[in-house]
Amino acid sequence: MPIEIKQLSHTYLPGSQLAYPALCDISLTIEDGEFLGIIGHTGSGKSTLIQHLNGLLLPTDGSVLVDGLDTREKKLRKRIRSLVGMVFQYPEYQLFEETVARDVAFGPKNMGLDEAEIKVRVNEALVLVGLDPAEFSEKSPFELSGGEKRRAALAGILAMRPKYLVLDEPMAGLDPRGRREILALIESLRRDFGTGIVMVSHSMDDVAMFADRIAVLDKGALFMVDKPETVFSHSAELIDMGLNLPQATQLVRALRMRGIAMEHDYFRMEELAQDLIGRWHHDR
Amino acid sequence: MTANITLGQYLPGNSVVHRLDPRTKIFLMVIYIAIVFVVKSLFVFLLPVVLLVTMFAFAQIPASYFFSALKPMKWLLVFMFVINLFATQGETILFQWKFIKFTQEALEQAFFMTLRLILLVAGTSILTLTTSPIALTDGLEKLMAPLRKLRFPAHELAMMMTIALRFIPTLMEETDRIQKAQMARGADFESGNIFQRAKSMIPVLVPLFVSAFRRADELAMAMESRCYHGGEGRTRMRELHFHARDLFSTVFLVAFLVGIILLEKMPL
Amino acid sequence: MTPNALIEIVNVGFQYAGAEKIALKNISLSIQKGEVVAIVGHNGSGKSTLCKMLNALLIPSEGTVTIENMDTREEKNLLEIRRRVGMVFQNPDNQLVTTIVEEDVGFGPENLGVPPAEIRTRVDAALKEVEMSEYAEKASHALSGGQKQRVAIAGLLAMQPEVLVLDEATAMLDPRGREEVLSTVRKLNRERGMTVVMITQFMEEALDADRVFVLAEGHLVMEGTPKEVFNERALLEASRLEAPAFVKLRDELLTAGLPISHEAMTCEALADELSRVLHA
Repeated sequence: MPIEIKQLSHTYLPGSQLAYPALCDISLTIEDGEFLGIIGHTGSGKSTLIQHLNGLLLPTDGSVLVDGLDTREKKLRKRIRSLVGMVFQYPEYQLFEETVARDVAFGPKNMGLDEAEIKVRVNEALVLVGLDPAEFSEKSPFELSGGEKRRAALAGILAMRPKYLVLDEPMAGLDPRGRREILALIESLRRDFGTGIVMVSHSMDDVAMFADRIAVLDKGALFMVDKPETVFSHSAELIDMGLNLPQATQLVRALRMRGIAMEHDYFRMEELAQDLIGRWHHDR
Repeated sequence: MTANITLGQYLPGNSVVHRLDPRTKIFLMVIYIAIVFVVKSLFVFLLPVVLLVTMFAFAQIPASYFFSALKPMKWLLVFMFVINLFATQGETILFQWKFIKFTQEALEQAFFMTLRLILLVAGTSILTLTTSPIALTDGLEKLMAPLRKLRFPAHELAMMMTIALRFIPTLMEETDRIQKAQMARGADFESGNIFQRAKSMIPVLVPLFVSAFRRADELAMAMESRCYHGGEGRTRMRELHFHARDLFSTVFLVAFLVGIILLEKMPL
Repeated sequence: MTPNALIEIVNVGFQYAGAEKIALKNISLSIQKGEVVAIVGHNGSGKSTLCKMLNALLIPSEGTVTIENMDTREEKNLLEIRRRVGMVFQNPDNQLVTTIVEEDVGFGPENLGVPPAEIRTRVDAALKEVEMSEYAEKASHALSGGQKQRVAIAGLLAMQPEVLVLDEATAMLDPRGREEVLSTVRKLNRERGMTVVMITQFMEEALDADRVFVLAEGHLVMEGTPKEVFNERALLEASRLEAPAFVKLRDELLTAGLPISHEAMTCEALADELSRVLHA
């Protein structure tokens, strides 16, 4: 069952002088096993939106249903939070336990699982993120390197076996190799386990890599949600909103401006490369 | 998105009181507190009340702030009144029911003590309303400066206060973020008895502390990179200067205090 | 001694106390006045360590670092070196000391004992240069990442430095913030001749530099212009670095036989080349 967002509006500090309408009438359905990218300028409401997906924030108007469960129902919140796993920016800053294993076990423990089950899940999660349990389980999280800490934090969410994984800039602050590895890991979760992915990112290239659909937020409203190719064909509007384009799309635009007809709004470099090479050989 | 928190309820403005040197204001507060404690008789009590109203007027602070300063205190005020009413001994009994009685003297005492508390809270709030936290720390640093001869770390304390003030909103935001991250993992901060709730704060406090230490480390590096080397030889962009208004207000308030003392001493 | 060298790094080696790994081995390089230099390297390559040597936060175990003929090992030089070499750090929050923007910008001059009236002048001028004058009386914590970094830069400008060092200063910023900081720095170099040293993992940021130094595993493995460095694909890869996306595309097209220039590295340059080649 999908996550249904129905006419969601959210105002911070409603009724006060500082009232701030962060989200305005957003309707969106996130399908099972879908990879949805969320992009938007800073302040467009991305963070606010995702916090509604697991009931951390409640709608001022409208509703959010996760697998049919309403986030406004306090009693359902625990179930919802085990269905929707959330990874915040720089998640390594939430590690607190004495050992990595204990920290990863925090989520499952709060779910009320028994010891045996928790152990299984902790091991499984560590393996998934590429941290060898034999080596890392008993280490203090504070001994790990930055990249390892992030993986440990991610494992803590994966151990809850969420149906949906919501990530806020999961690659922030990582080097190019780190980015690729985390992104590959995320996609593998979707591919191997059918986990639905919702990823907020400022990096168009990262979002463009694997997203089935991309939702564009602009000043708290949903500008559009569609396949990447369609979204990036609206390059003028995206630029107006202060967003970057994937590098391949930038080149497509630059070529069009120089009179070269480009049929597709490529957003992946390899595909653009193939097109250009094909053109070259065809011309000769 | 966090609410813009103004610490110590500072209300920016350009009134005469705002423009007083913070050292003056700190000193005036001390005098004012002395005045509030020296008054004893009913009619003399009117004078500090008038003084308070005058101070509010000079500081151009709306009356609503007077009430919001007292709002968190309302139960304490009631408590103060009741305690004094029934605990004070006296002669002229006004009311008696079984063992509960109070006298006229007790009524007066209760009234005065409560009024004193109101005067104190409202009066000292003028200090925080008209003086920004930085100005306050600057003023305190300057006042404490002579103590440096006695090896008292006046500058270091002031620097600590400044940094603390600067980081309070940042740390509050971080606490919020960490809390949310742990809630997303099923943490529950609301249910359970006091022990369970205290324990549930560990997943928030530990990362917060670790983070605070890391920040301190990085900040120290940044400060050193900007040639910070303690208080020796430091100048300040904003210097504190006394003006005529500082002299007048000090003289006036000290005279007021002396006047009150004399009035109280006079047999009426 | 290279003439006109602002910073000279000679045979520098460094090992952190208690660490097994040697952080820096035999690094020698010099930075000229007015240059924009990029120091790139993977995580753990030693670039951060090298960066901290530039303003004497770290002293080399071997070799010397001199800033305008001042040796960083001599304690008497410390304050002057740190005045001349201004450093911006990665975390925008953890560099701002006071509550209000203009107070923070004045922090450096205050430490230097500059007379109050002059501090005021410098602060106003510095804020103007980074285009943050309207935020002078605002609370520092409420600014965006890019704005905070610009305030940090202003704080350094108020000390009248010779060199601006950015220690991965854009790593934690969103694209807009990154652009704000980079364009501010470019402007300072262009209009004031400010020497700039950028420590970064992002190759795209090194494209505009005059020279690029590549560190890997504590060694200086390559130095040259961006064009030269990004053409050494094999060496970059061995250093766990990636050429910018457009450079990779260019190379792929070159391999397929398109006669585009070996020098194109940016979107616009590639587009020019491709339009020339495909129109013909």
